[in-house]
Amino acid sequence: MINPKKFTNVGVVGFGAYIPKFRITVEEIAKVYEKDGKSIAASLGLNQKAVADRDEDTATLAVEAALLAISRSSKLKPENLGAVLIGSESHPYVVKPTGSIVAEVLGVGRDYLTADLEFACKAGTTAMTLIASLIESGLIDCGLAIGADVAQSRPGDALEYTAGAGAAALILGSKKYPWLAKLNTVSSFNSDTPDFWRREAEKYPAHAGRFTGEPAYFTHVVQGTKEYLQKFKQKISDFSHVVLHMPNAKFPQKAAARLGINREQLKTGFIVPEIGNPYSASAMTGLVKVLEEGKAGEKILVTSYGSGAGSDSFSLTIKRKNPINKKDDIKNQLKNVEQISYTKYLHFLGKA
Amino acid sequence: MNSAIQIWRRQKLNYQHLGRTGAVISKTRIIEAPLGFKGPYWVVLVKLDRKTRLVGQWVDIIEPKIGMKVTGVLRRSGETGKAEAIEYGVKWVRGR
Amino acid sequence: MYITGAYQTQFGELWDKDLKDLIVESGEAAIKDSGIKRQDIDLVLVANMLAGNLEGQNHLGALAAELLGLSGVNAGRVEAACASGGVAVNQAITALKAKTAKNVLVIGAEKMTDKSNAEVSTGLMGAASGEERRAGLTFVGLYGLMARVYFDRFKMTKNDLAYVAVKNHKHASLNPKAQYPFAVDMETVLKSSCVASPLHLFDCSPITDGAAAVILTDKARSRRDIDIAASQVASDSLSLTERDSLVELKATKLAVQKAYREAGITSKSIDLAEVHDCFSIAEIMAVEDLGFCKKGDGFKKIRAGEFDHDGRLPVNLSGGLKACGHPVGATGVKQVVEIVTQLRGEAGKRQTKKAKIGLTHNVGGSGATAAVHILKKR
Repeated sequence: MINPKKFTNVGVVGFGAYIPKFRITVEEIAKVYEKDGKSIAASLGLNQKAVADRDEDTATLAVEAALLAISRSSKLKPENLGAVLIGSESHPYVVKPTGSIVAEVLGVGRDYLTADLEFACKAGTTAMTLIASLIESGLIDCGLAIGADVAQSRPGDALEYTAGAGAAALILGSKKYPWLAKLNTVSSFNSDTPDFWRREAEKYPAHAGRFTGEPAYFTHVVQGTKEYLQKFKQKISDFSHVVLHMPNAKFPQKAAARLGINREQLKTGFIVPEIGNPYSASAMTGLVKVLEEGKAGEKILVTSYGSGAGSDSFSLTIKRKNPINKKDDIKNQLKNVEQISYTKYLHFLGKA
Repeated sequence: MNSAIQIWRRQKLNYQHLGRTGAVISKTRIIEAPLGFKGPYWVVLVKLDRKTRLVGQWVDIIEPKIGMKVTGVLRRSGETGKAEAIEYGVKWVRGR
Repeated sequence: MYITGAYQTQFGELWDKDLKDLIVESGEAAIKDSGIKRQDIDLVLVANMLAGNLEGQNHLGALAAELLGLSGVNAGRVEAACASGGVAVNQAITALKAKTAKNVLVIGAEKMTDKSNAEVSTGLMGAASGEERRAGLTFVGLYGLMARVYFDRFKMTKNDLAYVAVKNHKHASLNPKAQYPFAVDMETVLKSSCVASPLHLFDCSPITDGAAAVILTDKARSRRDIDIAASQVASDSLSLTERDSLVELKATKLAVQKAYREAGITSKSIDLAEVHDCFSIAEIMAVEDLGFCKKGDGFKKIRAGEFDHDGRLPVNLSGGLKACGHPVGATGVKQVVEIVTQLRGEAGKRQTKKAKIGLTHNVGGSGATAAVHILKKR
């Protein structure tokens, strides 16, 4: 079991997200398969997803998000980072860590910890927990946790409508650095549940259809959150903002209803209708948006979900709003996008 | 095409202009791409604020214009074969 | 120093000829044309850029010597990208000046049509810098970057640029050895597909097979021997980004200034020229850089017909690189062959009446090497 520990020395020192500029609509994809795009969009609760350019990958997206996070931090230089942990389901190499590629680009130096993480869509938040623990133990003073993905989905599969791309970076640090938010507590809830997986050398993930709902997403998100609240004697109403993993719009809305989370709480971090599901970056991107737009004193609850399966829950308290690089806030990034056709989409995925 | 060793040796060179700003001096849209690249794409000739000049691929969704302020971002360089080492480099977008 | 033998093969897509055939044909014919005895040749230089890339064949000096029954002779290959030919001729002249050779055979040969356009285009980028290659540039792109600046700075129009190809095709229609021996109209040039903006297909020289050979000698023996008045080579940075200007080639200016000095003349004395029109913009900059007109006036003067067959200074009577063809290593030598042929009065339908002093201009890459020769009728 994980102890009900309250972190004493971990805060958010910098944060940033990067969402690729291309979008493809549900209708554009549905046309290819002669399906009813309008009704599929309605059932998913979203109209489009973000698509990475052909020369973007998890490493390049991670660097974009990390550079933004670093620019928003104070008193922090890349060589101060003691750990770089990147969670993804689309690491560019199966063997050779994305972490060292990103660390090299950022100029972290040689004296740091890295290894790649994978736990479907929750590897990024798990990276946060590990970084927080390294800081709390005093092994490092600050670390970079990233969730990033260029999601792959089998053409013709239902996931094709939502599998997107994006990256979110959180720099956590000890009191040595000015905090934009304080990390309060974390917990995790896991099991061996085969809802969605990808075997080695397989290009596309496989999934168990409707089984991905109740026994997978809902059990881990709802139960995981409830156990977290119980562990730390908290209530949903304690939080101004709640961010849940967003594989589509319907799942998190349904989970929210069960947990007593209202629309206001969900609203700010609810990015899925604009960008689809960037897998490991989903919940973390929602969190970054809350940090960009929230007010000092507000408490945030995040529950991520990763297939296979598990959820991480954690809470933060906003200390102050970030005034740097507001033009790169998610809400501004969402303004300049280019809609693309299915053929261009295939070209970007490297299939044409 | 490129050996992993050459890519490794070029890392510093490849990343040196990341985040730098400059302006477009000239541009050309490559329709017929060379081996290892998939066209079409713009290539821009950029003058950095430090008077250094360089050429690089354009990756913004808007068309580059002469005189436009630009910034370097990290992207994959060229097409990479399934088993090859990946080369990363700096490409250009409108300045933020 | 004199040019005593000169020959050019057919230029074009020569499917049934390989590089060795081109070397043999041009070498044998140049030797025959010169009247020199084979065993008196004491140096063989082969100008070629791509044989190593495209067919894995290097060591062309020894190969050519063997094929021409000259084994034993001093032989080597010269490479300076598309200026390989001009630089090889210059090195032959240097040997003559140094008296290390009396009779030099220079062969420029290139076989380009066995491989795909993309492979050849990639191979040609060996003339550029690593940074330019990694940016996904092609040669058309490099000259496109220059053309873009030229267009804006000097207010050139698309029609002005297109006229260069119209002129050179007109000239080539009189040259049976040209790859494209036919005229084209402005519309055809303007409508051709874009390759790298703002350059279109008809602004670009083609991919060509061909060879040309000359014999240079230290003594004049016949009326057909042509005087070498100047031979100069200059270099500039490999990368376009390191140049002083994007609308001129400093290497051309340096080489031609040295050449005019060596020949004791100015640009005004030049009657005709073969310039390096790898792309139409290159010819426009060349006539300016060579001093035939002021900077920014090139396209105007070309359009006004000053460099036409019947103009004051015919440029590219062979059809140039665009219409005669551009087998890269051969071009510099072919330019010398063309001027020699014109000065000898043996150019048939494309003969110019005013041919006493001619100039050749051969460029490597986007301007990193320039070789200029000035030849005089005796």
